[in-house]
Amino acid sequence: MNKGWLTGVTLMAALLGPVSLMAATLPTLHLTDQGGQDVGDAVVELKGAAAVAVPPLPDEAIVDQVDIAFVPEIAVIRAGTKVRFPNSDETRHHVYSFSEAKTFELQLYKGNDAPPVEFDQAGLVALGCNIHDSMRGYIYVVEGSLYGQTDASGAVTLPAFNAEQSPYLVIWHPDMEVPFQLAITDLADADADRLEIQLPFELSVDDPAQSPSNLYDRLQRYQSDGN
Amino acid sequence: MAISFRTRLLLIFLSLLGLTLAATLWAVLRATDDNARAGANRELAVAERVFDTLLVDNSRQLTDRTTLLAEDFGFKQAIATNEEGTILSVLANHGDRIGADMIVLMDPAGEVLISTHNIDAELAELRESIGRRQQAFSVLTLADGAPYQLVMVPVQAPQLIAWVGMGFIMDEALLERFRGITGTNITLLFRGGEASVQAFTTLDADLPLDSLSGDFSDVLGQATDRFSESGWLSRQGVLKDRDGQQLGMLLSVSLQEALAAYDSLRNQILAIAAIALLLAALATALIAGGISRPINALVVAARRIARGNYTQPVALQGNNEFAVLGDTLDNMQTAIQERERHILYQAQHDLLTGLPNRDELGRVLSERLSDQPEAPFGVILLQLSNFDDLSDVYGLSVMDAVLPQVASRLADRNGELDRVGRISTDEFLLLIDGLTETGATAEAERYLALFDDAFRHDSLEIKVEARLGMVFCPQQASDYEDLMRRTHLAISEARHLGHSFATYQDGQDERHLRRITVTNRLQHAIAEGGFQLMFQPQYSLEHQRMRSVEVLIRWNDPVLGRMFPDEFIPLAEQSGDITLITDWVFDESIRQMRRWQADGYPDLGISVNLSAKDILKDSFVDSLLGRIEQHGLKGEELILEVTESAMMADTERALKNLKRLYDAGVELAMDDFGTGFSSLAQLKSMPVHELKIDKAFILNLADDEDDQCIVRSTIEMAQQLKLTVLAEGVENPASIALLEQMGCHCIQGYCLAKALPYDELMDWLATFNEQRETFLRA
Repeated sequence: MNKGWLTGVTLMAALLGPVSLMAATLPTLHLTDQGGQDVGDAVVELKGAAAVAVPPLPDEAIVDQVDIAFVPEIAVIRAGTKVRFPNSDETRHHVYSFSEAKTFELQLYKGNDAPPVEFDQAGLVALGCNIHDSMRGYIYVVEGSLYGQTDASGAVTLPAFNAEQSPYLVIWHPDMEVPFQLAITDLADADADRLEIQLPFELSVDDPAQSPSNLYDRLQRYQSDGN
Repeated sequence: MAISFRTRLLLIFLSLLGLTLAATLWAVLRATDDNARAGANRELAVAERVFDTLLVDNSRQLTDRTTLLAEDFGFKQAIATNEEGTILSVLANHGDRIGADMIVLMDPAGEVLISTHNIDAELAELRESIGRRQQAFSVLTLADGAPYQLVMVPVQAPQLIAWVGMGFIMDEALLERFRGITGTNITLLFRGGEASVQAFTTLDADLPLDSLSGDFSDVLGQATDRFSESGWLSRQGVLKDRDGQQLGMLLSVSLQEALAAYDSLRNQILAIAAIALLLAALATALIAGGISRPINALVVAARRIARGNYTQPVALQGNNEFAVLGDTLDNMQTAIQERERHILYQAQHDLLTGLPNRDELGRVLSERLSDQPEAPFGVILLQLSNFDDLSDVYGLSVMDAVLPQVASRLADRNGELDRVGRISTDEFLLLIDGLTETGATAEAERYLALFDDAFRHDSLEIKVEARLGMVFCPQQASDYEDLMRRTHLAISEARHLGHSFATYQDGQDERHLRRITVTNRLQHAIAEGGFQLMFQPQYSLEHQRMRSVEVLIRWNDPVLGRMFPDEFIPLAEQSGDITLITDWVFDESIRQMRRWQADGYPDLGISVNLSAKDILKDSFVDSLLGRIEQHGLKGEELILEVTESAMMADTERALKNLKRLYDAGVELAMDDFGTGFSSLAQLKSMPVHELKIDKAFILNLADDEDDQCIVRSTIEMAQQLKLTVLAEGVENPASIALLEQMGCHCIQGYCLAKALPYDELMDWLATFNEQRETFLRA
């Protein structure tokens, strides 16, 4: 934890006056891991604050399956949102989750056969496919509307908020064991364009062995040769 | 001794021990090798069972896994969709899930729906099993050049909808895992169809797969041999051989490793062997030393004794056999020493008198002559001159008692015991330092004086007489042989002269030696006929004719040269050979006379010299008379010339024998008349016809009036005694004239002729008869 940032946040709070009454925005946050790499696709949620303007819930969110993978891999939705799991692959998928926030199963289906699933409880929902063990997907369900997801360069901008009591950030990424929490007051220099946050983990390196299996290739080849 | 006893013992012991140890080591190494092999084989047998079990276990595990997978609802569901994409996905996904390397999906009839590998070769077997029962099973198969364990499981939903097969490669990773369990190296050899042999192995050993060919069990055998060359002991087994798919395994253990367990045993045995050898060498060296040291000492002692050195004791310590042997050797050498001393004493001494004997004294004298060649000394040979007579009278035992007394007196006189020796029965030899000719007489008399007193034995008084011969060294003799001969010559001289002592005169010995040589050669001449006869004319003045020739002997010896009768006749007389010579002369001269009588000189007789020895020998006279009769000799045909010396030796016998000849009618002439010691009285009684006046009176007759006087009176005396006279040595006509005038009957001499051989005599006679006056008249 960088002591400098904390000093900056405190200073900013003093300039803004009583935080409980005033709407505020945070500068763009830039997340890096221990190695200084940009952390993309990370979920950043602001808690202990109320949104200045709460947008309406969308009808449904989409988690597609393309080339035996969930797209997007990490989807952030507000509690109560319905998610549709279309299948864009030739093969059927058997999507399931055993997560506490939402347990469900969509047995072998193809195309748009599967009905949408409503996620009414906040929390992290891990997705899998029963016949494609390599498929991993996440749906991050948030209570409010104060959240964001980092882009490929690890940057994210949160919506404006009204601080209630001691607002704090919860940051999550699949490579992290537990979500990272950070009090707003600990943030320095809220005026700056960007706030750098270094997360206490390292991004995993893509394992080539995890790539589509040899067996699959061979079977495909047999299929194309044979038929 | 090429190799010492010690070394030999060492070699024998060490080689025996070495052999034993080597044999033991060999046996142990062989046993351990056998053991190691047997152990390795046991290990391999166990490993094979373990391997088999492992394969079964593995297939069971794989079957379980595959079965579990096939029973997965999602899997069944996916297969049941019958959609290629989904089936492909689920197969790959589930295959990956259980780590399969090969996937086969077959319809219930056994048609391949999809497969990662070409398993056409395996189909027959698979269908066979599928047809039999709807139950999971596993096979070993080769696909795309690698061996797999293929597990086939039925997919039931709930009826059989397919057979899913999961194959697991049997690669080196698996073999490594198995190796960890079996503890042996594993090689999988496989051959599919016409392809060449391939292998997976946990071994580093080089296996040239291309060279392996033939029947598959042969291939395994060849591989086993290959490994064995690299020190691997292998056990082979065929895992599969069907439909052109061949799979076999070799389990291998390292022989070195198996043997390595025995390395410490072998090293221990080697160490023990080395220590044993070392100890044995030390012990043997000690024992050998214990034996060879005293033996060496004994050998040294024995050699010393053999060289004649008896003074040093052998002195071996201890109380073992060697010490006893050493003592025995000591005793022996003492005994030998004693005996040798005794023998030496006996060898060097005369036992009767205790004086040094001839040999010892000879040694002393020789030593003295060579050690001090300049220092003068005298040697006296003392002979007991009446020893034989005394022996005859008293007997030898008495003389044996007397001799020691003689020795004692001599030794006392000399004062030095080793300078007096008894060299024969009656001879003593004395060495007297510093004695020269000057003191010789006094010294001789001192020794002779020792015999003045009689010797006593019991009641007898024995008067011993001695005679001495002396030689002075070094001038008279420089070696022992000369010395002895010359002392004997001296004593002979003394005896000859009737003296009690004589000193050696220089030259005696040489004459003596000459006489010995001449005597010796003379015998050769007699045996081989080395003599010739010469004839010197004897002319009768009385009858004016050639009366006879004196026969003279000539001897031309190949060694000595021309010898004259004056020298050799006395020697022949001494040796007794004269009679043989005379016999020969008689026979030969009679033969010659007969020859010239036949050649025209019938009246020419021979005058032959007779030695005094001949005259004194009755047998000779007998044979002579016999010969005269045999040849019918008569008158002046044979004249015998005799000398006075015969009379002097034995007058009676000489006269008797002369009388016999005289009576037999033989003309006798007295030779060399006037030079002897004959008395006129003897002349009176001597039976001779003629006197031969010695040439000493005749040679200068013409000039010497004394000679004329003697010759004249001799002739006159002869005429009175009715004897004829022959003058010898007539050299000139003047003498002839004188002799003729004096009435001499016969002449002989150079004036007429010297002695001539037969042929010259014949010539001379012819000349003389023709020119007689030139010889007789001036």
